[in-house]
Amino acid sequence: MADQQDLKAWFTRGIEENMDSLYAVALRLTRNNADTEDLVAESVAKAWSAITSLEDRSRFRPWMFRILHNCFISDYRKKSVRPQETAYEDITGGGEEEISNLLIRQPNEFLEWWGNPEREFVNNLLGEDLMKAIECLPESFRITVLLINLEGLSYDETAEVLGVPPGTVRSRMKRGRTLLQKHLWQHAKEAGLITGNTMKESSK
Amino acid sequence: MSNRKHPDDQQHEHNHDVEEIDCLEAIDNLYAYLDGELNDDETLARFRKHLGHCKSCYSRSELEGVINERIKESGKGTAPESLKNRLRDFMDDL
Repeated sequence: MADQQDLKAWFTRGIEENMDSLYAVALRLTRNNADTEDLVAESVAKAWSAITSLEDRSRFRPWMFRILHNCFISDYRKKSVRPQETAYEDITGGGEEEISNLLIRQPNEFLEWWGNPEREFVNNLLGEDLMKAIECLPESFRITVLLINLEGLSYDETAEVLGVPPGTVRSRMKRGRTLLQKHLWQHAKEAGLITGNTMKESSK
Repeated sequence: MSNRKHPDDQQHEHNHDVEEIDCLEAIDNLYAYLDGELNDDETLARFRKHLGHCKSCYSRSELEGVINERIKESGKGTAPESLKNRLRDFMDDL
């Protein structure tokens, strides 16, 4: 009985400490405020019912994110698909060298314009725009970028969450961030943050 | 945000030193490097050496590092009170 009370107290503390993180990741997965709270609540309930499967308490965060992700896949994914994801399909099937070559080719068209004033562009780039760009990534890349860049999980922990080898995580990071750059570049042009090689002041 | 300047302010030229990786390999290692996942000492040294010579890859590394910071700043959110209350009600009933 004491052990059960201890377990409840420990689980409650873990959830309290990670409410904001679970919400942030769920929000970017569902891209739908109405579903986000349901997804988090359902995941927490499933986590408690499966608490005995967590053998190492130090792995609580990846374990919890794995349940959240699985819950999203099984119950929420269909509702979250957006047509613009297909715009990236031309690259998602490419080989590793093809992806790297895309980045190698970019300097002339992408890097030169921001050369010195790169920080001005990034500073002008609203956080909201950046998160919208992440939301446009295909799901497998989006969750990888979120877990690593937003939540600070290691590649091993992310592999544990997604049930894939660490090498796949590394590949998805590269592909996801390549797509993110393409989207940011496009956004910057459409938003008028850049015209040719010059930067405009943000409308922030 | 870093204010570092690239050590070589001249036009980018490849160094054909056998110990240095090329841009393709540098790009392949870039995100692992920024994420603290490039743990092999030799690969890390070769990658850093390349950044010291290649302005394009150095610039990309700087930009990606800044984007990493912006993701951390922009993506953090606070769960709404309605959700917090819902979770606390659930945990109170355990």
